[in-house]
Amino acid sequence: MLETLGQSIDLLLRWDIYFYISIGLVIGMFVGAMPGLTTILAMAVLLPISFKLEPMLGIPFLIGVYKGGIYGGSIPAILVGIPGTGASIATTFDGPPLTRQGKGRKALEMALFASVIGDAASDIITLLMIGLIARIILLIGPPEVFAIIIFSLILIASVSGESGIKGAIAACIGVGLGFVGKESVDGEARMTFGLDALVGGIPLIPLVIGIFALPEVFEAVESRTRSFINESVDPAKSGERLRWHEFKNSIRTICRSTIIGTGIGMVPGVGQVVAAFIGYSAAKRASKHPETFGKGELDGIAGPEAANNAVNGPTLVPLLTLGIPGDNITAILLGAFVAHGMRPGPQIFNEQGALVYAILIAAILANLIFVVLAYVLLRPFAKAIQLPKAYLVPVILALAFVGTLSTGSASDLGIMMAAGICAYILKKLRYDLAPLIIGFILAEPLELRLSQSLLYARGDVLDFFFLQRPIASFFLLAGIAWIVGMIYVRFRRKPGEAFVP
Amino acid sequence: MTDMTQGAPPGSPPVAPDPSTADIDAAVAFSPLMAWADVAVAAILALIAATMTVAMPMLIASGGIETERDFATLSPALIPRLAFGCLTILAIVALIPAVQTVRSGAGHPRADELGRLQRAGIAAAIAVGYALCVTWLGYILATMVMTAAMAWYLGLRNPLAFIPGVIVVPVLIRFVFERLLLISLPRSSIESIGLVEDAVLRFLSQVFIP
Repeated sequence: MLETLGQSIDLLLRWDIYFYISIGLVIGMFVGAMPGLTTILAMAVLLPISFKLEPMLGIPFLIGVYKGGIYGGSIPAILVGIPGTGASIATTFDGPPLTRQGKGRKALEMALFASVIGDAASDIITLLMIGLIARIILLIGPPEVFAIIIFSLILIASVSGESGIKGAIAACIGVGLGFVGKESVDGEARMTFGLDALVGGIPLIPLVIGIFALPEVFEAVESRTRSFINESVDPAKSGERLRWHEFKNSIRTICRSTIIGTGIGMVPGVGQVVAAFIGYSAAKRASKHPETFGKGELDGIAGPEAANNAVNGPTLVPLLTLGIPGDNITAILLGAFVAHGMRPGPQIFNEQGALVYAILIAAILANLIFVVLAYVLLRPFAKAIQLPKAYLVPVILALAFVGTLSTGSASDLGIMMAAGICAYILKKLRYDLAPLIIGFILAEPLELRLSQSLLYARGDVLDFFFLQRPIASFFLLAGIAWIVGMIYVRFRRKPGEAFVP
Repeated sequence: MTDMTQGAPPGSPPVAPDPSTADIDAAVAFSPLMAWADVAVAAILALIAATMTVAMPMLIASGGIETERDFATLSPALIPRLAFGCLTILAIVALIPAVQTVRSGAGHPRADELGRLQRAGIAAAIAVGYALCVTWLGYILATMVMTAAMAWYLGLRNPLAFIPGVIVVPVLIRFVFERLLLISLPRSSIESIGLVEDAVLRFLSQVFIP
């Protein structure tokens, strides 16, 4: 292995690799920061460009787009509460409160450092333990994925907002909406009410934009403040940078979330959204002052951002070792590998080990480049949020419409508007909307994995889940224990005391 | 028309600080109006969810891959029914404290609550109007109208302060999306406006795209 690593380092001694990574990072950051434009879309559009480059340039370029996109999503999430990507939904809990306190730049920098550390650490773990991770991945089948989804939904519903019941209601609404359209097993249309537009299901992007962007616009208009930043904040202090002691206080959270994200990344089809929520939940539970979460807590940024970026490394493992992409992004990367004459699978390390290791090391080095690039590019974003709302609100609304129109038809605008108005009402009544989107995203895999598990079980469900599949039984029992714990804490809690799951 | 002078750009008369809506929402108990709304929403959710749970088998269209039924052990109605069943129970559980809050009469009316809702309602009306016009007027013209209306409503009164933005922002967005990202946005269905849009985009392409 050391000899192969030596050869791969030789491959990395070229300046143009880092040039193409930088371009990919900037494009990814821009795309991620635009609500409605997805990293997948950018990678799909840029895939043919990567074909024209040699493998050592084209694949790191796409990896740069991927990494930049995940971080870019946190920029609007922090500044105006609109997640640029699903991975940054959990960042909307503490980002906007920090921005209102004039700490938007601190939050952006914390997100940057947490993202880069989480990503780089998970890449290094992946590089060093790729064989072990591949063996763990083989232990995870449909029952385990189903159990992890159930556990995640319980966790997400309970951790967000001040009311666990309202979080659970939002998650159930999301799951229910996720079942509209063709069923994943045999393709029967459900809950379409005779509308052809619903046969393909409710589109995700108009729903996300409606739920997160429109209530922010309506709230911005209803409040009389001149800008998104509270007027009690001293303008001289607005836009302050992250201090070393603030970062030091979050190092433990970043390390914890990195481990969580790396673990979640090994589970195919679960991904960054769930990792970010579990990272947030773990940070809140471990904090000495959990009551500050949701009101502007830097750990509430570090937790989800480190976790969602730490997913990136392990998701490459099933792709490289088994030739199986775990999600849409890695499916595009698989296309890039194949187009460049590389055949991901067990033999790839024997046949093209140096190239594969060089690509993995380039992915790690991309993080160093990203720190420098993003640090420079953050300044205009942090400045922009200080503009009066009269300038920003129309631009946000125009971009929200572009996001919907760019991925769907004009009829999707109706879905976006309906979602936005309902979300505004629910938000006024203190329903947390993040579990709704997570429930919506996880509904289809939940049903599909349960269906597959029941086929495996051949009628003996309890025996199958609880005796034959220990990982699945662990997560199911943990979910049950979590609910029991919540109910216990709820009834023991004194009036006015903060709820910490 | 509500007083919107505090949303005005620099140079407007100074006004007292006003905390953001999110800060207020997080800090205080529900007002009587919101307490009633909480009851209504929980009741509506419970009713809809219960109806969906009961009626789910009727909401499954015929078709699909029938042979798949031999292998699949799940009915297409089962999991949605479970989800809506859970929603029914949770909405009823949420309804109980909401009713108790209304009956106890806790909470105080919030200052300017109706004004806030009215302002949000006007913003929603502008957004709905924008959604209805965007396919007819095209992205550029509809966005110009929306941007001008919203900026005016938020207190910008000096045309020089917002007219350049009103013109530049929609043209720039459409140019970047269509010519650089290859994502098309609605062209006006009024041919004369559409021709002007095409000419502007062609000109920008000649200038910026080698």
